[in-house]
Amino acid sequence: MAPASSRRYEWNPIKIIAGASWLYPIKGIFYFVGHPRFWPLFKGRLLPIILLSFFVYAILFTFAFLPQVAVLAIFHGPGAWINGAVLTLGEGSAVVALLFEAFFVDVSLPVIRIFHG
Amino acid sequence: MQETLVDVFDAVLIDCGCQELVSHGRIIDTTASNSVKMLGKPTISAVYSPFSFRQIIEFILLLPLNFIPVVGVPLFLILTGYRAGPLQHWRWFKLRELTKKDRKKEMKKRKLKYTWFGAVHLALQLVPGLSMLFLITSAAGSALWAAKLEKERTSRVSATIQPANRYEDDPA
Repeated sequence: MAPASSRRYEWNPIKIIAGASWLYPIKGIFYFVGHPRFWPLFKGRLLPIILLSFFVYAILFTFAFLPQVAVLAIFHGPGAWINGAVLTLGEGSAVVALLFEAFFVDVSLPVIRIFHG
Repeated sequence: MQETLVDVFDAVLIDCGCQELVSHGRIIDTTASNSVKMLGKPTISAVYSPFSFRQIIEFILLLPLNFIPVVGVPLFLILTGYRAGPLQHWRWFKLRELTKKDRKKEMKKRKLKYTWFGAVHLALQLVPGLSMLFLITSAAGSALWAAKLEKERTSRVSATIQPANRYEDDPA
């Protein structure tokens, strides 16, 4: 991380609060939910994604969650449940992302369209 | 997925008055009733963020950070956000037709902000079942941010050239 290079942006305190970059993913949620014209873009993907992630998380939480909590519990007591959950969720999201890239890649990649005129 | 993310990103940019910029990457149907319907065929490859093996590998390598109590989880999100954050503006850089060098410069300029953005984005990704929805909403969010930066940038550029000349994007 290079805090020095972004120094220029951090002089104005109002700008820091109003333009805080970490707020934008949250703003995006409200923007997307608040504008129904965007919803059709998600609808077509909804079912395969939900099914895929359901299976991945079900398998991970059945087989990988408890052993990880057991290992974690050796190092830190009851907090192991929370850390174990985040760990498993992280693994799940990596697996879903990889699977999704592998199997549900858009067939109509525009790159192809360009090369064919 | 990439195409959907690009569509969301472009539509939000159009909403925010950056139609001119979006027209660098796709045909825009100006007669359509809303920004989503305005989106036409892409003229440059519709990649929202490049598939980065480095990112996935780092993600997997950093996963054990979650073993550390209390600080482990936030630390994991920030470190992975460091890689993921700048990639959220890939489409914006592409629309501006930036060279690799300029792109790196832009990423470096807002390194810290991108890291925070990326950390929040990745925290949302951990919500089971909704991760794909949040992928899309993050694209909307990054477009809102890009639109704001774009306005700052163009006002800066037009301030330096004569006001009579209409601004033309010419990165070369």
